Amino acid sequence: MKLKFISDETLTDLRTNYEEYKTYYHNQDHTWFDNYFKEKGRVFESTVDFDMPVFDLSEEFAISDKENVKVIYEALKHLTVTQATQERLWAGLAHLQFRDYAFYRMKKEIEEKNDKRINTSIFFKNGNKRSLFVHILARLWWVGYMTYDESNESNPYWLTEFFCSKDFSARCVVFFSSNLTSNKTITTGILRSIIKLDAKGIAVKRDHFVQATKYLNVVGGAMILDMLSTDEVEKMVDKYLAKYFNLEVEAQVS
Amino acid sequence: MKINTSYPYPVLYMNNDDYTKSSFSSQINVSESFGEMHIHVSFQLNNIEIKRLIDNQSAVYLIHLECGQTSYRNVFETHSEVLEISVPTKLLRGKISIHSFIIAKERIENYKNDSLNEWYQHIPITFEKGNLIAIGEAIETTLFDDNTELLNLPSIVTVTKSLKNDYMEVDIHSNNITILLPEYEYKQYASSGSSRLKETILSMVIVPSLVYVFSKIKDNSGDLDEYTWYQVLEKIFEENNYRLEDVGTDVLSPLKAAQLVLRKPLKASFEEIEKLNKTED
Repeated sequence: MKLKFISDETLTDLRTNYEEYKTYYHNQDHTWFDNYFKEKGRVFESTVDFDMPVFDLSEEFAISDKENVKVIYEALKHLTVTQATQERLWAGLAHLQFRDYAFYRMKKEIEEKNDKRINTSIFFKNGNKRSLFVHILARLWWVGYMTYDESNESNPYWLTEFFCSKDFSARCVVFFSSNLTSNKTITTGILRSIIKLDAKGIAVKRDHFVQATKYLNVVGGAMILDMLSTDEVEKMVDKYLAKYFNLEVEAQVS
Repeated sequence: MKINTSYPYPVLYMNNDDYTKSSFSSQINVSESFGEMHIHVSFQLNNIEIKRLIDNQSAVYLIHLECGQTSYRNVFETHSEVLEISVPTKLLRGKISIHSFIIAKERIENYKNDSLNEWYQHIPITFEKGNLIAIGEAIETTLFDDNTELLNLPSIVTVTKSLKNDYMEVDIHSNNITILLPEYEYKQYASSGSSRLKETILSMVIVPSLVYVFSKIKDNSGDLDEYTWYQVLEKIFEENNYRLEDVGTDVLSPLKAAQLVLRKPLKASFEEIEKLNKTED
């Protein structure tokens, strides 16, 4: 099927008149949405083909988020990054073809009538870059895109699985709001380093991600990190995390 | 990318006085055409020792390209004074910053330079790989959305089934360009939308059709310019700094014009085939 998105005018209307429309979100009123989008000029069909993904709707988001990153990235891998930065595409999907998933993922927010979080879940309300990692659909695609490792043929999602294994929402924002992690070589280097800690039985926490990017930010002030290879980044992060978290002894033992 | 005001080593930079009688500057020109952003950079370096480092490959001229919105970040290196870069615009959106540097490509110990400020004389200096030796100009440019890529509107090519033809034909005498395919070919084409050879199949059908269309532009028989497809193509060419009237003349051949409009279709096809071959291995 063809991917649909909403017109700029519709996007503006939904965003600006949210207060008017909010009860339809709270009541998950499909009939109202269906009629609204039937109006002329509201929805456009794009040239992008895709197979409707089957989302994981497990009780626990900790399980489903991880699976759905893979599900959505597999289905929409062929989107160009320019397309994937468009609010009208992700807001469109959340209201149209992926509306069921959107309601599922906003279950708690809808119950609590947390309008602020409903807004950031389906619209871009946190700036162009950050929103990509906050919007409940965009972030699935973007985490897939940023962590997909083509070089691992048996499981290109090995970094994805690790990254999404816990603390998904916070990790997305903390890790990918740094400009450094725009470079996939750097991102892969950091993740490979942290994944080793996990393999050694160390409980990986948010702070491990924070410290790794913080350190590279400081180093990046005096050198162009983008010149380094994944291995070089990985080694730098290994060394720093071992020192910062006092892991030198364990590191040598293994 | 943030540029610091001071570094733990000397940097040739217009905003400091780490060096005397030396300079580094770069002229960056950006243009956009048919889905690619072209960046032309020429570097001017006035410092013999740093020039020597570049000549013996210990250092490089480097361009750092960053687009925050699409999370694109990449570097391009060269040892020559001119650098040409092409980046597909589908990777970029909004603000793009371009910085120029000279960077240590390896560890450089006991660095000496006669033009160093007095302050640095007699101090041992070491550059690590990736350290900045010189900072040149930087520019910011903005790339606007290309709606034609996402939108099906205005779609100027229709592929349809022909019940009586055994060969592909193209009709240009209506508002849309109509490609007529024999029944079997049409069925295959229509079901290839999500195939792993999508681009290849598209190239097989659309490339020769557009070559045909462009071969007809020059004689403009039957007032082609009244049709929507002609006007749309005219606009696309104009936006990309070409003239549709030039297609079919010495300036631009129909073959190249078709490949420009479809944004290197052969490359996309062969990439697809390469990928397919790889998965089969």
